Amino acid sequence: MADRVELLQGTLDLIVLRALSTMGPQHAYGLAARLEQVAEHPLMLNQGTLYPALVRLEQKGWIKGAWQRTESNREAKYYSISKAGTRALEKQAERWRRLAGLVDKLLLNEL
Amino acid sequence: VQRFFQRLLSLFRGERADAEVTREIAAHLALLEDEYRRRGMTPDEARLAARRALGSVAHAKDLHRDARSFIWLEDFHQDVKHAVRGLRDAPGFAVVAVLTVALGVGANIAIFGLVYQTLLRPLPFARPSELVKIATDLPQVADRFDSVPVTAPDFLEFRRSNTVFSGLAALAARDFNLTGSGEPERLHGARVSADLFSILGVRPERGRHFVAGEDEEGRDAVVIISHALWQRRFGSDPAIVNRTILLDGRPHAIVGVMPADLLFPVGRQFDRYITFGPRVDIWEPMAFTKAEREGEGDFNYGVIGRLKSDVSMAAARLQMDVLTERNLERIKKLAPADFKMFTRVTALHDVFTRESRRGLLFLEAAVGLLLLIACVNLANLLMARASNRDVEFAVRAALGAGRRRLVRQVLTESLVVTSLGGAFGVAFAAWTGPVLLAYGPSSAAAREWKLAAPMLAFAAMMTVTTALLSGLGPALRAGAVRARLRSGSRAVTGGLRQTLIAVEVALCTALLAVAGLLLHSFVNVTSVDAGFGIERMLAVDLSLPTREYTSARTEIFYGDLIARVRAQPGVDAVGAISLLPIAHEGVISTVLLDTDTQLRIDRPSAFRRSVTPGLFAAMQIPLRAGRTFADQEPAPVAIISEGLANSLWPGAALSSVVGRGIRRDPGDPVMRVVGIVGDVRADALDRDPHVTLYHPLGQDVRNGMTIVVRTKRDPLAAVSAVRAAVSDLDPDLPIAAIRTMRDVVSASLAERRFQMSLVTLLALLALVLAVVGIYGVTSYTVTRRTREIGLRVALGAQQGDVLRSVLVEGLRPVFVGLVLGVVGGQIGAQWIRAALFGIDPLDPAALGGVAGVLLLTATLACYLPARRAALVEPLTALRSE
Repeated sequence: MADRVELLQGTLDLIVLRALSTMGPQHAYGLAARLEQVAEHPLMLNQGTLYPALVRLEQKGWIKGAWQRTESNREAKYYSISKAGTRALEKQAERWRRLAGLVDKLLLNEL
Repeated sequence: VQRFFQRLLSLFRGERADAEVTREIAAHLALLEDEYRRRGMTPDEARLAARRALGSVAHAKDLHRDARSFIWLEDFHQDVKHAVRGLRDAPGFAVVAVLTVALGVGANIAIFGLVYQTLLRPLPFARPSELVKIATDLPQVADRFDSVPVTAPDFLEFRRSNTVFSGLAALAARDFNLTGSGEPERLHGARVSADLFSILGVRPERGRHFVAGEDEEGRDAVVIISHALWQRRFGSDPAIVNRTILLDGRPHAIVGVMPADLLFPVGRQFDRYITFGPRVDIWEPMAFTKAEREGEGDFNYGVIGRLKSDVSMAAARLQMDVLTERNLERIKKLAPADFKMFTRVTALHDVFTRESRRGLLFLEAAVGLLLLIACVNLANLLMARASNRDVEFAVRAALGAGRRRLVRQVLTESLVVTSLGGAFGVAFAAWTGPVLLAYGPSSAAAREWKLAAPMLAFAAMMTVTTALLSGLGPALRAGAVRARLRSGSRAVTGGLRQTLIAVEVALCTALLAVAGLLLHSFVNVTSVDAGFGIERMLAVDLSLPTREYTSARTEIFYGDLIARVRAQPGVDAVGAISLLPIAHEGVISTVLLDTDTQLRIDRPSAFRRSVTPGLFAAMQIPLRAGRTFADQEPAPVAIISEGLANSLWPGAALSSVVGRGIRRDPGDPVMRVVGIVGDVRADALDRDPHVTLYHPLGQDVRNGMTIVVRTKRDPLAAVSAVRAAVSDLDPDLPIAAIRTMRDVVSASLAERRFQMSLVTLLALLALVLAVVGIYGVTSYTVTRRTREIGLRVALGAQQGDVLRSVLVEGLRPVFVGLVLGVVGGQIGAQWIRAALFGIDPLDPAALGGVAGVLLLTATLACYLPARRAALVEPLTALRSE
């Protein structure tokens, strides 16, 4: 458990947006499975933590949810990234790169 | 904004959204289960594993709900926790900041409590807004009497003919000698119409009110007593009702006991010309005698009315004007041709607040300044703290905290500090409030001090305002941390800090200046020449019951008493005077020349006092011309004060006035002026001397007199001898009051002393805060400049140079503030102009003293850090940071 990475606020949103933009529409379970697959460390305590991010993003109008049938004929809410979401993803990614640099600088040089 | 509305909407759609989440989570679980079954688990295992992977369903829903709802509550909680932790890590900062706020808020609540209890709280009567006071305006004497009470015939006419009041009651002061069981005692009391208490809507705690008819002559031998008297004199006797007591030698039945919290006017609170005792212990029904009922021109009775619930104050005034016209018609032949009279209707509430309103509002303003200073100090502290935390803020910003979030966090921190301070402040106020009320103006003393809901609301408002005022600057600064880091600049707050110091010093100087002016005024008042000697003087109030003491017996009694007291060792001189100056307001009359054939209202009015021959020597009132009274004065004579002589006969030499004639009424015999004495300050030490007309006791006998004993040494040593002499002559006679003139004077200055001490105290607190502020800023500056100073020292700067430069920099805003503050103090001084005595607002002594004190302490506050700077070792300095 010690090597579990705690996600910083704001980063989960970024990851979800990124996943939706590269993979196309996904339901919550699909997203969770994808994130676990991509991460080298276990990212989250459990998959329920995804929901706040989904709600937040939906409220911002960056993703849209719609009920559909899965391949196995189960019902699920599929989320897809909107145009605004794509734009936001670009901006957020840029901002993140900048801030990460700043944190590095602060941690290494000034403390 | 969009999110905000979404959330708002979701508040209303909560149920539907919940159903949606339930559905979504169920779907999620189904998919997970499918996956686990595919991996070969049994259906049960798969369901459990799916649940584990998703986490608690309820938790997932909660997370969902949180994201939907307002998250700021959660953030606030976090910020508070963070702030508390931060304060624990910096206990020095925490203690200073919390104490600063506690001081500012506490002082404000204490004073606001005084204001609330005195000015704002509704009177403790039923439907108090309906209660009014009725008084008479006599425009022709408005310069001397701003308004006077009502005559009995006018009152009776008002009561008979008005249709606007549901009740109208008269009241007057009346003191009694209580004899019979135990020590004889002088009681302060009042005569009131039988229905006064039911008009006020207060109930006796025992027994009953007066009933209709008890305010008729012959049926009025009943009284109601105060709770305090019941406890003190009658040992809380449960069978007190219907007990009979002797008042002025006549039996009276006690019919009721009023509750302890009854509000009844004391002193001259109700009307300047009706003097109740310092507390009122006994009430008698107002049964007008025939002479009183017909007493035209005797403006003696206070009147309280209750407006009918559907009648406005304006409507009542209109009708009273009509009724007053009718009254004027009735007295037409008695009054001068151009006599005018109006009736004044005012809210009863104003009666109880009038005296103290101005002084209290001034105190409120002063204490408000103190809070502002506390805010400035706190802002400075937070700012210094914030600039040490740039790195922390930068990290937080980098981790995703938005600008607004940072601002909010610093504001929360300041709110935590002010809340703690506010809580301590409330405790501090709860402790000091009752003390304040006890020493406060007499009009407030009748009420108790307790924390009422409006005061707590006020405290909460103060706390939040303080947090915003002092936290906003530092908060915005923290919010801007990213921009600052980007530009690579160091924090530049020097200018802002200097401004804050200047503001602080200005506020403090203004308070100190006002305090200085009040202090100097107080010194002037206490050292003013009263016109008589205050030291080594004992004043003994007596009142002989009129039933037993005829005029002749009264004169003999006082003559005997004076002779007995004078025979005591240690006594220099003894005299008696009706109505002691400063202690008792005098009876005022117009004084006419012997040539005046009708009443002339342009003649001077004077206090009239009856005296025994030895009085002038005993009081040390100087004789200017003529002689004092002899033991026997067969013809009508008078002694007048210098001021009265000058206004009756302008320009005449005092010696030439002796022998001239005056009278009080065209029909009265002419009195010859036999002597002229100095004027005395009869109202109060801080009011101009009032002119006086003295009668020999035998020609204007009063039953109530004050014996004045001039002693060689401590006047209190004569007390027992005086008591013995009185009880030798009449064992049933109570001594109403016995005290030194010094105490009388001191009591008369109570309100002035209260205001002066409180403002001085507030000003000193302000000075402490300002000094702490100046020290803090200078010290902080020195710390930040350690490197630079070290460099300068390394380059050859002398210790003196460093010291001087730090001092100059630290004191510059102090000078600016000082100048602004003196100007502000002038504005404050205009406000309390009436309280200034013997000085003008630009009093050099007060202002010079204030500037001196302030500069001295400020210099000291700057000197300590400056010395530290001067002792900086260049090497250590360069290694710092």
